[in-house]
Amino acid sequence: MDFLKNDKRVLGVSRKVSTQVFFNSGSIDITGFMNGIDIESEVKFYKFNEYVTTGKPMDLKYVPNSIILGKPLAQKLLADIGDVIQITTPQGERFPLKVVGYYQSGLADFDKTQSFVNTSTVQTILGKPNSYITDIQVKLYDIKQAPAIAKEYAKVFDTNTEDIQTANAQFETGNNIRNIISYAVGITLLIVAGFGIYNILNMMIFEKMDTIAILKATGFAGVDVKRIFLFISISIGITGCFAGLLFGYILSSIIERLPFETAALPTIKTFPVDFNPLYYIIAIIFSLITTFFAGWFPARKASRVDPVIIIRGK
Amino acid sequence: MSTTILQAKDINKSFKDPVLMPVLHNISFTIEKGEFTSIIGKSGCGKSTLLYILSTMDTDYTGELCIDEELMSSKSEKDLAHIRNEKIGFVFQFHYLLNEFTVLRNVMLPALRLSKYSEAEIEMRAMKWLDNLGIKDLAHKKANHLSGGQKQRVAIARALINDPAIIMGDEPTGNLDKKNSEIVFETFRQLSEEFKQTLLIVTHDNDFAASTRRTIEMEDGRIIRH
Repeated sequence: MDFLKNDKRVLGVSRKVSTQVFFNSGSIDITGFMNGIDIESEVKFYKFNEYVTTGKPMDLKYVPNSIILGKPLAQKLLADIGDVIQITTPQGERFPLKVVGYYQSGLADFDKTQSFVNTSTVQTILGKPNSYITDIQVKLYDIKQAPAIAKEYAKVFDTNTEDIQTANAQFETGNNIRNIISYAVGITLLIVAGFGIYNILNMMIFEKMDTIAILKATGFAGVDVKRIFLFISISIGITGCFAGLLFGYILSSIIERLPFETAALPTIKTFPVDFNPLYYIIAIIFSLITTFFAGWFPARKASRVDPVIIIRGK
Repeated sequence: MSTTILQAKDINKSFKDPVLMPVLHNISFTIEKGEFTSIIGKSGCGKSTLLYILSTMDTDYTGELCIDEELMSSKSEKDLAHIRNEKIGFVFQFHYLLNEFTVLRNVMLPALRLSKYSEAEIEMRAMKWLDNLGIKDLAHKKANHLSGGQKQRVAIARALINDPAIIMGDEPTGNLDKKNSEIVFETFRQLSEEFKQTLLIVTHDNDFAASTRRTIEMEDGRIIRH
């Protein structure tokens, strides 16, 4: 434990003792799992409190022989908060525990079988000493290092390790696909907007042919003309970019307040919106690049306008 | 004491599209400082084409062109633009003012490009020229609120702002009525006499040409009299 705590890559560790138990509901026994957890570090590192929908997570520590049940499990057992339920250990010993809260992770199958108690409670029930633990959960600063560190620890401690990416492989794939879709939509929109600016500037150049000709005749070189039109397109880009960001921010603030309730995500009541500034920075960069290119081609065309042809044409 | 401002030597030009058609044949002449010259000739004799070559805007020709004793052929587009800016003032048949700007701003524009003086100085000089041309009170009007004659005088002021070595005019009176033509001509004459300004004006108005000090007459791409 100390070795893990002293590792600089590790944010926190928490101990866990899991065992299979039977929950007694009248004459029927329901198979389930009991996880003995160190409630303080669970709350601190894994936001355990967010999953406890009813009751206080800290009661696990303060109330002796207390238990937090998965909500569907509690419903099956007809157990309200404050009730005492009976459990049977694999060794056949019966033990009364007081229900202090409901737990809901959003995964119904998981909630149907899980329950949480304090580490020492499980150790007592199983008749094991204080040092008996079955799992150690390690939280890292950088989630991306997890697979490498998992392998490293497996070697050092000669034990089984599993990294979060492997454990949640399906979730990762879904996430990647969603990201690809949203970026693809974003880039398509920017290309469309880019063509819009390209068209506006092209029209503007036709309209301002005379102006370009006179600027050239009075001593403005092609480069100067190009700079003027690039300046126009970049200023369209900058104004559009900030107007868009502001509009987008307002819209996402509104969406964030819309009710969004699903059994899978019990702690979320409104649409989840990530206001990470990185997304705004990406948007700024992409929009400026698009407007630059959308302006570059018409500007180059304007810079090549031959004043003689225009002045003669009158 | 006279210095050569503009020297053209054996200038030839042909249009290549749709068929090869020569427009200018061995044009050679010089213009001295302070001269008020007009080029006349019938429509299509190549006088405008010649002016565009002399103004460095058209670079597709053979022969030699010197402005202020500097050879123009084989200069880059950027250098030519700078020379146009500094040494040549332009007055076109159509005024070509920028409608978005005020008169003053229009006049100041070439000088701002040259940026030899500070903006305040440029404004002062612009006002001085507008005053000399008698249109000082129009300075803060938008260019599209002016009459044709007024616009043409603003264009002349703009041509003068950088103290050019030469002012070129492409039928500056071609689009004006008799009265305004006279005003514009009077302005040119005043520039020539009071400020010793070198002027080269292309026109088909024989009265106008007759009143200038020197007339170059062109026909079919050749100079027949100068």
